Amino acid sequence: MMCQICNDYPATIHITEIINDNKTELHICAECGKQKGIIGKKITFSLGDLVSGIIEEKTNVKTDELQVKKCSFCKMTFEKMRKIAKLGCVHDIGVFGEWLEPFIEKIHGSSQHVGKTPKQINQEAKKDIELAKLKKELQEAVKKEDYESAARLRDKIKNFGQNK
Amino acid sequence: MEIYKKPIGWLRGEGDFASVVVSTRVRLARNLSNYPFITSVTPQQAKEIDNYLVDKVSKLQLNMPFTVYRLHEMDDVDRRVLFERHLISSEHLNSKLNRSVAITENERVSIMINEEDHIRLQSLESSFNPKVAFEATNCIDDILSEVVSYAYDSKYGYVTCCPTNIGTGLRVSVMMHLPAIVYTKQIEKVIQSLTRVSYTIRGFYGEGTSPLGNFFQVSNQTTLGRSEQDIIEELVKVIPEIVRFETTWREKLSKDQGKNLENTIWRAYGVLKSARSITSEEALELLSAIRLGVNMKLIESVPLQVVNELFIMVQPGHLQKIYGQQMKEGTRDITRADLIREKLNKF
Repeated sequence: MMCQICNDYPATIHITEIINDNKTELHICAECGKQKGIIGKKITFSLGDLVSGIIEEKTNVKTDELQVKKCSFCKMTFEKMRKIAKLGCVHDIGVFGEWLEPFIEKIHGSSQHVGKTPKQINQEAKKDIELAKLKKELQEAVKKEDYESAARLRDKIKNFGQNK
Repeated sequence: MEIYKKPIGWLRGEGDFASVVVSTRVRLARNLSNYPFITSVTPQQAKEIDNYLVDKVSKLQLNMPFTVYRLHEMDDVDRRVLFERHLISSEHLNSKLNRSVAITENERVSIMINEEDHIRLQSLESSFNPKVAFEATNCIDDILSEVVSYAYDSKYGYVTCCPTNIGTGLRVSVMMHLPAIVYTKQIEKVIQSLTRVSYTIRGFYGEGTSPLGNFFQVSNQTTLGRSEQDIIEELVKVIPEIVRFETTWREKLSKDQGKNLENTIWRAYGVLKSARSITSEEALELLSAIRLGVNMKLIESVPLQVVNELFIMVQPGHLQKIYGQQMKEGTRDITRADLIREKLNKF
């Protein structure tokens, strides 16, 4: 088969595009491929592009709200994370958690670690885990209308922040 | 750097399923909690992380001390030798950041610093030995976690740069030699079945590399939601099945097409014992046939370890070190043929 653009050289690149059941085929030579920018550039295929489309449609994650978020520690933005599908630091888990959870779940079929833990979890991480626990308890106390416990927990969380 | 002269322990060709399984590699991905990950790190921060971790690793109290190689200070050929010996990954080889690798004397354990993650602990064992390989990295991981602060989250476990490694950060890769499955055109079937049960199959040098000489790396795809032991236990069930498939087809090939197969193997042996110039691709393809011949007891004089090691020795980095000079591709093809002749004609 000859190139459909120049008709001078054999077609070595075959492209099939399917949009809404409409199939278009293009058969071209390497030279025309280069001129049209189809080859020559490294074609990148990102895990982010692949998975984010699926999860955003299924989970109704509000990407508008995430768009403005930025990690103060590593400066990761939502746009960059979505593109490279990689984390910038341990704090991104908290900042982009809403988007990351379904993403991670899709990859692993789970979102809960059940393996080993470090011998010594650092103080900061210990505090974070403790703080997350207190916040959860506060939410539950409010839900149960147990305002006495809620007030106690609120003070604890406040003190926690100061100590930190 | 004299490491290129040493025999490679994990290629000794002994242990469970050694005729099909070349080696087992275990790696744990870890990051520091107080620095940005490699995606967001500045060159200055990478330098700090590298210095900090080299210091910590050098002071670990271990039976087997580490030798540290500062990759950014080494020349291309030396770096390539470490890559060819599977002690560093292709990403680590090509990075522009300050980065290092700490290697034990027997090359069973290496710690990559500033690879895709700040820390990659890896262990290599001959043939199929995932439990021993895991224990080697696990014990260093425990000791290291007492002196550095890992990026760890109670929900997601060890937080890694790429979400595909999050959780245990554990990847077990089993290097398999599958010539009979390839010759009988069934490799696609094996790849599809493995993908269906969440395994990945890659080329000789891991991620993003093509299969060379019918070698494939089979590894677990998911790292979260299962314990380290569960990941290993499952592999202990899966790998013997592939071994059985390959062995059955080797027997079948030998029965149905014995003369053809013998012809292919002995011709490969003949070419390698007399060629005066040979490309890397051709050498690997022919060595693959010889490896099959040795394992099927057709070629009885050559030890499996010699064939296994030749797969590494014929690579550009090792060739240039062995002959002590930088060489262009054409010259490399001539020295590659010289080296193979020298090694094989001893037997």
